Amino acid sequence: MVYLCSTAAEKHGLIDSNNLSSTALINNEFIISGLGELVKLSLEADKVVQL
Amino acid sequence: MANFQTKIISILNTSSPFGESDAKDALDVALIMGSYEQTTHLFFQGDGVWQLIDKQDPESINVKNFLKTFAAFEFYDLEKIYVCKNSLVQRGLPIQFHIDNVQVLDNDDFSLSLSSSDIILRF
Repeated sequence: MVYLCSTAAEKHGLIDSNNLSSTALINNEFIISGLGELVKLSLEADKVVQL
Repeated sequence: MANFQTKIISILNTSSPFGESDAKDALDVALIMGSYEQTTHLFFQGDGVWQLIDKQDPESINVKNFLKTFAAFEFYDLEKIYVCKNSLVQRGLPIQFHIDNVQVLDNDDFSLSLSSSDIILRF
């Protein structure tokens, strides 16, 4: 799965299938998530690489 | 809350406070890491040092002053705060900040402190 920052997604008008709208713009492999997910994934990872 | 392993997280601030959203984003990440009880250190280098300067007035350009939130660092256990001395000198800035407990480090000590991190996030 690929996680997208909710703030950045909102700024660019991207919505995922969890949104109530029928016009989801993001492939099902992407999930819009928040900072809590960032923390969780960062702590679980062996390495964090920032680009 | 789930039981997460503890890592040393360093947030390296290199962006000025009000030009882009990077500085605010860095603050949000620092606070959330602190909320999850992670050992989180803050570093300020380059234009990031502007975030620490006292007596700023962002309201005059219709920007919210998120720097006031720095006063809450203690409540999030954000106690290790480092600023690059060289960056201050290059910008002609005084060693006088709007928050307490900022350690001013030379380049070598700054790098050494940063190198002790498990994760470094640069904004």
